[in-house]
Formats: sequence, C-alpha cells, structure tokens
Amino acid sequence: MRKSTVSNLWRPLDADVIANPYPFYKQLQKEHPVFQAQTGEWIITRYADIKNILGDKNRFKAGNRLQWMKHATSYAKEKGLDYSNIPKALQSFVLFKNPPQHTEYRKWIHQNWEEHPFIPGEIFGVIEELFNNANLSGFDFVSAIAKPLPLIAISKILGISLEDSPQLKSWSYDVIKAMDLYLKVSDLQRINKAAFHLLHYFTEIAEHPEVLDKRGIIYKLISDNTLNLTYEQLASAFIFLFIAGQETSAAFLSTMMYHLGNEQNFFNEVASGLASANASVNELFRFDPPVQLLGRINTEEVEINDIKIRPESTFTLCIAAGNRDPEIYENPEKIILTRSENPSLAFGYGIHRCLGESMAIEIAESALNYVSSHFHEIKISDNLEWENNISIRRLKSLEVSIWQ
Amino acid sequence: MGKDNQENAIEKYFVNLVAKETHVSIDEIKIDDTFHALGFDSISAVFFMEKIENEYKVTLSPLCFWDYPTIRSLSGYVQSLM
Repeated sequence: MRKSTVSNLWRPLDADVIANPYPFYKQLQKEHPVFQAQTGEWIITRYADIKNILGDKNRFKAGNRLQWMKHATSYAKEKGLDYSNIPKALQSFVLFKNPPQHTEYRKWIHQNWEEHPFIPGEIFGVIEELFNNANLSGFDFVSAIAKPLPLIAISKILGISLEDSPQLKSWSYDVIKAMDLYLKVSDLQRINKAAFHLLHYFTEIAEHPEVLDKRGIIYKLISDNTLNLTYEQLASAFIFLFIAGQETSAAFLSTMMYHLGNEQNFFNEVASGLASANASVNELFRFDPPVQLLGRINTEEVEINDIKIRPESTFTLCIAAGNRDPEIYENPEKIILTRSENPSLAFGYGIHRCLGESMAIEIAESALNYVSSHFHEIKISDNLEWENNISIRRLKSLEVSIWQ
Repeated sequence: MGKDNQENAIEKYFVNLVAKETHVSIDEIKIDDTFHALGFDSISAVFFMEKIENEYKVTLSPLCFWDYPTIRSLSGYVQSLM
C-alpha cells in the first residue's frame, strides 16, 4: 500500500512548481527529506544524502531510465506498437552506464575530447554575432541566443555540419523528453520518431566518417573505436554528446538571462566586477541548476534518515533542492557571488560528474561577460513560458529588451 | 444520464480495462483496491491512461494515476473533468 496522507507533497507537474520549484523543494526538505512519493519512488532533497548516494557507486546504480524504456518498449511491442528506436538511441548514453562499462566509455570519450576545432576565444565572436543579429529593443532570448550558442559550439566540437544542426536540434529537443519524470504515450511516439531520425543521421556518419571535420571529436572517436562499438552503438554515443552538449547549456543560458533581468542587484554586481565571471556562474549554477533531478536505483537495502529502503527502489535526487540546503549554505535563497565555498551539485558528483562541465562553464562565462560589459539594463517581459518539465529547468521563451 | 450513473459507467469501463490488462476476472476486482495492488506498474499505467484519455476525451497528467490510485477515485476525477 502507498502512503496517502502526505502524497500530495510530490506534485512536480503542477504549474506553480514548474514556474518556481523552490518552495516545493524547501517544504519536502524541511518536512520529509526522504519521502516516498505516491509513485513509490523515493524523493531525496538534502545535500548530504544526495552527495552520499551519487558517491556510492556500489550500492546505487545509474540507468533506471534506460531500463524503464526497454521495459516500456517490450510492453508496447506486445500491444503491437513499435518504440524500439528509443532504447537504441539511448543505449550508449554514458550517464546510464555502470562500472566497468562506464569506466571504459568515459575514458574513450575523455581521451578524444581534449583537442577539438573550437577554440575558447571563438565563443565570444559567436555571441557577438548572435546579439548583432537580434533586435535588442525586444526579442526572444531563447531562440536568438540561448539555443543557437551551445548548438554552434557543440556542432563545431563534434565536427558536424552547421547546416544540419537546426534539424538535429529539433530532434534532440524531442529525444531529451526521455529524461522527463513521467511520460505519456504521445511522448513515447514523439521521442521514438525523433530517435529514428537521429539514429539514421549519426549511423550514416559512423559508416561514412569522411564527410566530417577530421579535427572534430566524432571523427576521432570513430578512428579510435577501441570499444568495438557497432555503427548503431556509435550513433547512440554521438546522439548523447550532441544532446548533452547543448540542451542543458541552452537551459542554463535561458535561466541566467532570466535572473539577470529579474534581479537588478545580481546584474549590477556582475557588471561592477564584484566577483569573477567564473565565481558568478558557479553561484548561479548552484542557485538554479539546469539539471534539477537525477535518478538512481539501490542494489541492496539501504537506510537513510532512519528509513530502511528495500533493494531495487527508484530514487529521485533533487539536485536543485540540495543546492539550497541551509545545512550547507548560508542564505541559500540568495544569489551571493562572493561565496567562499561553493561545492554545488549542479554538475553531479562522483563517477558520473558531467563530462561537459568545462564547456558549459566557458559558454556561460563568455555570455555573462559579454552581456555585463556591453549592456547596462535588461528588462524581461512578464510573458515568459517555462518548459513543462522540472528534470531540466529551462524557459521555452523569454522576451527581453536590452539597453546598451 | 445522471452524474451517479455516469460515474458508475466510468467505473465499469475501468473495471473492464483492468480485467483485460491484469487477466483477473471482473468479479474479483474491487473498485477500492489500488491499481498497484491490482498489478499495474509505471509502464502499464502509461498505456492505461492513454485509453482513458481517448475514451473520455480528457487530458490527464501522468501523475493522476498515482494521485487517484483506485478505480473509484480515478473515475470520480475523470467524471469531474467531463
């Protein structure tokens, strides 16, 4: 039997939570830091508990989402429905892998990531061009800057054609929905269709790498196929890099601009050089991280906060709640650029810590530097729209007006 | 059709769907048993909700299945949306 008396505490799909999940996290953290939701999963909101779970690779496994997709695909097949492209597209996602496979995949990607054709200084030029093309008196920051900036960066890093990237981006937008907490049949249909197209595109590339920029990561990964991956497995690994490289970065840029426009103090402090761009970006990653939730499954019985939890239970770790845990942070609800210690969980912790962290930080720092040094006032319209998903917090659209 | 009758009709439809899904005979399904106890999981729930949405032309959040965890409570909720 599920608990019923406090089950309405877990309501991540409600509109007010989508717009601002922080009061919801705070209540959970304060009243039920280890909470069994009506769905049966365990919701963890304290910093220390999240960090312990992420750091415990022996008792907590990643990959529950891929498992779920595989089971859902088998179930659907029995009903005559074919969603088989979804697990195929997700099969080589490094965030779903566990040791020892995880170690091999990570090493393979890491050793080919070090040199690529996108040099750091280039980002600034891309930002400048995107802002020059925008009508600063009123434009949608998400479609004009937040989405194209990381898209251009990751396409160059991977060595794929910039001409193909807008189409890839639209499929990637659908496939990332696979990370949502809960899905509907219509979502599965959409994800499957986009997964089919992405698999087709990247399988062709794996078979014919001569079309790629040879300095790009994908060409190097194909040339260094020490894991003996099939074309389809390679394609899935590239889908992962493409999606992970830009979706969360685009999400962060959208919320960064939102906070710059919404909190004048924050903008003024950044512009006055109170803290370095790096410290400012780190604080913002703590304050409002793009990846808000991560999943794990326990391999054996565990005890958290005096609650015994049976093996093979699903855990939803609220990263964004942990980042505002008053046990760790003074005034967690405030953006404080000068925090001396800022060990946030925004990029995860342990063996799955984000591979693209330095790229994401570099893009965000460059964007923040550009905005704070070129503009003196940003106004955001009330008419903004959040994506209907708190796993990755991002704006669908953000109308802004900027004064130079 | 009166409200009570309509709700009763929704309950009947749900009982039939549950029987089909779980291969339990209709007589053994109690409308106050949780879907979980009746044998549903997070995957069969997704497809079950789709059938309800199509049948009654309503839009349901995926969490409704868990927020209204019995045939009685979910059919009451679907009725309230119609």
